[in-house]
Amino acid sequence: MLERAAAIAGRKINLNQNAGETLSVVEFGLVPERYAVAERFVGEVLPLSEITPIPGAPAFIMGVINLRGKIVSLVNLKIKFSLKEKGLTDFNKVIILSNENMEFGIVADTIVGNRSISLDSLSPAPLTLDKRAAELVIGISPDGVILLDADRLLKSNQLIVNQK
Amino acid sequence: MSKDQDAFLLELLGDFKIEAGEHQQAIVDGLLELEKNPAPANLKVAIETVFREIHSLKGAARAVNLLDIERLCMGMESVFHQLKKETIILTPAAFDILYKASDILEVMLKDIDSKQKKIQPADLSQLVKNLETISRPAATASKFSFTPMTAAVAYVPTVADSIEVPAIETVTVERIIANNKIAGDEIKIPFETENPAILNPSEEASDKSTERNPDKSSDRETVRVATSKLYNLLRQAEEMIAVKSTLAHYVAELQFNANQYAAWSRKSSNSKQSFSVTRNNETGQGVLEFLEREKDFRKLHEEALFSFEKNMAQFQRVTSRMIDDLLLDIKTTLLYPFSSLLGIVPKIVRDLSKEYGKEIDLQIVGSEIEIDRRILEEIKDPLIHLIRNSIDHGIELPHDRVKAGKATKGILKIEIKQDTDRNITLCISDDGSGIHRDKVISSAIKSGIVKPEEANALSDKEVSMLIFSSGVSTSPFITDISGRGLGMAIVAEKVIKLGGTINLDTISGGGSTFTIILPQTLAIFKGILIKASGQFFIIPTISVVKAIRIHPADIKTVESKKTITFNNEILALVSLSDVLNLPLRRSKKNTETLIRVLVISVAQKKMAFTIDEVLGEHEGMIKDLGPQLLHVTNIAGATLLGDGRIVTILHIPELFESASRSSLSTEFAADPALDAAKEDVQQKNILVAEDSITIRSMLRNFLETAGYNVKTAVDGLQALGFLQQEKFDLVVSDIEMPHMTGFELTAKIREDKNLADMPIVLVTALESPDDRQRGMDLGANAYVVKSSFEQSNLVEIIRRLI
Repeated sequence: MLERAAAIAGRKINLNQNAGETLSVVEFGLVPERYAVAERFVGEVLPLSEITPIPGAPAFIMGVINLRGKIVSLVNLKIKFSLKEKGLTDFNKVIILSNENMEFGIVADTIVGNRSISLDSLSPAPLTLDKRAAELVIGISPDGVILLDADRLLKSNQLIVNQK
Repeated sequence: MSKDQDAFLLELLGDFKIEAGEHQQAIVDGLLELEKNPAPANLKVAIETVFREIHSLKGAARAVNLLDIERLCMGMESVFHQLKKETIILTPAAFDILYKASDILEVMLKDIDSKQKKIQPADLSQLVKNLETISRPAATASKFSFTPMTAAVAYVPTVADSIEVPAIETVTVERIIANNKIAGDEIKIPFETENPAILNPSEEASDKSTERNPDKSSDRETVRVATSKLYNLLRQAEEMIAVKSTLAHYVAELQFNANQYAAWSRKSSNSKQSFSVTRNNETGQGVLEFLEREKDFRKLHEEALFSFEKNMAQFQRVTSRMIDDLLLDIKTTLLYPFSSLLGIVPKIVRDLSKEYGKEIDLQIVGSEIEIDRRILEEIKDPLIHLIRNSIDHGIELPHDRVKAGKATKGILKIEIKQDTDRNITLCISDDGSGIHRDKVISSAIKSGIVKPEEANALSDKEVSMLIFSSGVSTSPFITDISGRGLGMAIVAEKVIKLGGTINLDTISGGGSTFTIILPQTLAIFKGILIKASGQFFIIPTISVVKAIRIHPADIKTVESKKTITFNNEILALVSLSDVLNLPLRRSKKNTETLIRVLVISVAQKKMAFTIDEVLGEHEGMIKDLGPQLLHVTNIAGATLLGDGRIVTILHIPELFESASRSSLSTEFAADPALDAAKEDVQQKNILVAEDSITIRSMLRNFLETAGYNVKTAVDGLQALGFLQQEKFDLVVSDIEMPHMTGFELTAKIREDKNLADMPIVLVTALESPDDRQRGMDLGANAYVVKSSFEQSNLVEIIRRLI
């Protein structure tokens, strides 16, 4: 119990160092939660069109889509990080995340829109969250939006599929 | 200023490396020629040629301040200087020193960029001293004479000429390699789905520094392209300007028509209004006028539309031909003669024959034939491997050959042929001892590829194909070179990756011939578009033997595996959906009696796959699956159909592996129809939680009728207990139940990590929007109202969920 408290306190302190900073994010819904990712990692947002499933790929890979002639894989975050396996999902939007080495789409039920989140208003991820999922959460805004760490998502080895 | 100078020097060095490589190769060629003991007239020419090559190289090395290379060249030059004066003659020992010098020269050239020099100054000094020794007339004149070489190496005459760069005007085109450092010297081959550099950067890096970096150190790979080819490309690119203006013209025409149409359409709706206003008197006249105008207008636009359609169709034909031509010509700029690869072969053969004490007559035919340079680069290692194999294990030692009644010199022949189908055939044959059937079989049995009882039934062909399986090695056939019998498997894999095939014919005691068939270019990929379990897939055309339909009765079961007979061969029959683990689709109850089967082959192994249907052939580019999916088993990549849909391309060697794995573990029923029926229901398990006994048995009844296994629980608590003990595919639950309601059960299931994605269908007596919302919030997947549900509705929902 004490450890938990210390952990929470520790995170709070860290977050406070970011005082005053705000982050532009894209907010999206994964029923029943709302999530956000930093805008600078979002390449584009598009309606989910035809997905080609990849047989033999892990369950968190929903398949691939054709992005203007380029093939881009789609990730179901709910499955990979068991973020909140709750409620029905009607994926109809894709958020393309990318950095210089990696690119994939994450699927969302809805796109809420762009907004900015003040970093020092964030509270830490709830301890009930799966540990691996918690690593990918920067924090939760006062109105309950879970801010995901897109940078880590893109760099995470867990998401790379190599069945060689 | 100094920066500019540095840049200039660097550029100069780049040029030097290219030039020096050519000189070095020419020196080796010349040495080989000299060693063949040519007629005096040719001898003079050859000596003169080599002398000049060495001399030029020396000058160039001095210009870029590479003094070690200059020093070595000087040593070699003085030997040839004496040879020209005919004061010395070359002995086998002298040849060895000269070859050594040219080898070291090669290493030094590759080493230019690296700080760590491989050649120690002491070694170099020793070598230069040796060169001085042989260039001293007194030392050689008395002792040496031309003696037959132990390993004379001969070209077929036509080839020697074609090794030279063709005498057409050439320009050097810089190929700027992608700035991506990792992929720097990777040439993408369509079939290469994985990018090893990304998947294991450190390993790749170390790999490169040991063997790849030296020969590609500059990263300034160049291609020599005949200017005529470039002019041709330029002309075709210029023709694209016409496409641009033609398109602009058509767009303008179309806009004009569209505007006219819009105006007419506005007018026509206005006239309708005016008709209703002026209904009483002049309506009839007005309508007639309107119809007349409309007729004229329609006629005008009909004509415009038809002519537009005709023009566009024509334009489409013209442009597609232009694009095809352009593609073809660009591909030809990437074609390279085999001679550029085979230039290294005589030297390798010479070295190996010395090493193994064998006498070899090397014959090369057709080295002027051109092939995509990317293929050429990829095929180099397999070719060298096959050559080494022939010399090491194929061709016998001279005294053994005499015993077998053969000439002492073994023949190693490399023949390149081009057929009309833009395929290139590469044959590597020897007249050595061939491959012994028994040895291959015993090795294959040892490594578990063949069962002893099957061995006798194998045809000679099948036996010789076994050497392409990894792990098969015959001690006389594969020894120190590959050791573990992996070499041939790698050769076969490489060839298949390039979209080619490999075949072996061998006569015990009479030699072996490896026949490799390769496509001339790589870019266009051809595949057969098929459907399995309702999903599209593409299988490379080169792997498809035939698409056939078979009658269920033609399927025989051999040791609990299904087989069919195709062209007198017994082939394993597997379902593509099973191998790929595709979700089984409820197919329409077998209305068709014939089963569609695709016979696929890889490295001479054949297997039959049942599929839904064949849709035709597709041509396109192979794409990878993006940076996230580096490699997915059984998938080689993907391609785009005309409508933009993505279709995955199957990786045939992996597919065969997966198929053999699954067929080993799966017992098949004898009757495919029975299998199909079983597949249809797949024995899914459903748990029904319902307190009313009437509804419980009703639900059980019709779910069982629909083909599911059903277990019932009297309330949520019991259901939860069952869920924790047994495996179910879906839960159907009432909401109002004693002890634990459907809502509580749903919440509990979602909380349990092991059950979190269990589909849940809630059924209730009363439709209530609040209950529905609550059910959804708790994570139920569907909500069915008992009062309204018809049997089909529930079953339909279940089918959608599992």
